[in-house]
Amino acid sequence: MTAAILTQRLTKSYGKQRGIVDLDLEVPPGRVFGFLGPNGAGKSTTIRVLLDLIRPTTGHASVLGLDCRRDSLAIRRRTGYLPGELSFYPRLSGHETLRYFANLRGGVQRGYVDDLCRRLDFDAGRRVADLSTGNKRKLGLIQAFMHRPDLLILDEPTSGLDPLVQHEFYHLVREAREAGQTVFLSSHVLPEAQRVCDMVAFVREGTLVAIEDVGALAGRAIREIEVTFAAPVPAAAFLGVSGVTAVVENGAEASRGAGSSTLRLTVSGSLDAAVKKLAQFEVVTMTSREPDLEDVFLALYGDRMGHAGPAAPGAVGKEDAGHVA
Amino acid sequence: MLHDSFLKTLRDQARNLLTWSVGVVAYVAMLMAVYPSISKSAGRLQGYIDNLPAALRAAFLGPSGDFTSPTGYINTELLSWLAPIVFIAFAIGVAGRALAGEEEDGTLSLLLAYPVSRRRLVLQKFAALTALVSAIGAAFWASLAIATAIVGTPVGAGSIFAAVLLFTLLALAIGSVTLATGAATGSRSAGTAVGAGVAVAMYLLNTLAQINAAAHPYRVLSLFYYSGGTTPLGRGLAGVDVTVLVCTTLALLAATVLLFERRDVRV
Repeated sequence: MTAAILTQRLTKSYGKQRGIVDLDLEVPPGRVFGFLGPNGAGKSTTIRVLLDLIRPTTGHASVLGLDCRRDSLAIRRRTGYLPGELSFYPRLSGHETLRYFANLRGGVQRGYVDDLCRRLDFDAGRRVADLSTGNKRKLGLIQAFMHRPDLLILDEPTSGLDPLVQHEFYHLVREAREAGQTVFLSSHVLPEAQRVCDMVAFVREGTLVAIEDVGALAGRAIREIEVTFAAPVPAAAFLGVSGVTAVVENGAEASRGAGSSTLRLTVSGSLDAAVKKLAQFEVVTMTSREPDLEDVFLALYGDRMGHAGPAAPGAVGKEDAGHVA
Repeated sequence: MLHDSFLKTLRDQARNLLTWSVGVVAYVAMLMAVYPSISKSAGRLQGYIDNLPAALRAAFLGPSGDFTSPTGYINTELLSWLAPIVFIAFAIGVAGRALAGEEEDGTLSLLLAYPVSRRRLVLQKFAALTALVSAIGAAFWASLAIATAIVGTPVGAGSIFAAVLLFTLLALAIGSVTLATGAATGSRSAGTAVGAGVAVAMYLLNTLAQINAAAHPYRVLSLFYYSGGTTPLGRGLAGVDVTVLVCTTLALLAATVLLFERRDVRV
């Protein structure tokens, strides 16, 4: 089967600034593919090359088996696009905006557009100038989905959406996959990608770090836990506990009282061993958060990114000394 | 009006067009309303004008040095300076918004992700520019033709039409400079500045060429030379004038397509 997206040594340079470098990417058809990376990693640059908005410096890209430069019109006919930086015509209403875009496209079913508006709870009667960021995002999603394209290219689709709408968006993405459409979405948060994607590619500083099945990734998920204890607990207590890759002491939080102490644990994979170890102490509060993508990269692929390597199990550090002592 | 980018541009510019047209009609009406009293004191005025240095007279009143005839009056008071400013300013405004404006507003990225080729978009925007500048021309023509008829000054609707048509073509040529610059740079201010700069330079060249013998041969480089300079009314429609103005515009339009097709669209 033809790849939905195929790039070969794709490079885009902007003067001294780096865009993307030798990017080889293959997105199989009918999948939900996450394109992950911190802001400025080159995600939008890649997407804009695919749509022929910008031209690669070197390398080659094809979409749906068609050449990105030569057959761009045919590609755009079969693609729905949500830009990361989204702008509409402020003086048009939502209805007028959708009518204009539907006219440019042709063959859009009115009923389906109304259906999308209802599902995303979008009030199309209001002028774009009066819409909130989240509502503009909804309008962007509707125009991307409205012609049931073979390929959806969505640049940061959920930024600014409230949780209920996000949930409906995930539904739309799953429906698209069931209908055989390919979804290519960029994101800078891993949990979102894990939730909807079948596969994810990680990019950083314009280069591809890894491509993974989401299923395989789950077992290696990285989590950060911050625990406050009733009594001082040394970081060393967690050395060697299975899954704990780093422990940081939050020494400076005097306001909690002299007797307490706070530790931040970075845990990879199962939390089981760390939780059982924690249970030996008197725990006052515990919060768990998803680490930012940069930390995930360091933990998963530090060795491939020209760094010293992933934090060695049991590494201990002070807050201001950073993660890796 | 949301069928394509041509119609949408007309829709976006409707209010702007109306404002300019009302201004044109009002100015022409006022100008012609005072003409009868001007022509009564004709003798004294013309005497004053005849005493001006020949070069100055030629530059601002044309070779005939005629101010008090209807044709001379309309040329001096309207067509020598105000009409070109109105036509060109309007054309530059519309042309600047057409491509560079959409790019600066950020709507171009989404528009060009639709199955609309860049060439088609340029042609639709140019077609809208042509329609809008022609509408300003129509406002000039109709208001002048009606006003001169009411005041009873025999200028001739055909002669007015010829002058207005030349201005329309001149404005389209200058507007195409702005369109091409905007398409090449993505900057509306660059397009406006280059268009306005070219217009001012060409106007000065043409005026200078009328009073300075050394500059005289270079008047052919100014588009104002082909639009009738300072005395458009009564010039008539010459094939060479129309050809030069139209060909300049078409060359700039072709350049716009080429420059726009090669460029990276900015976020």
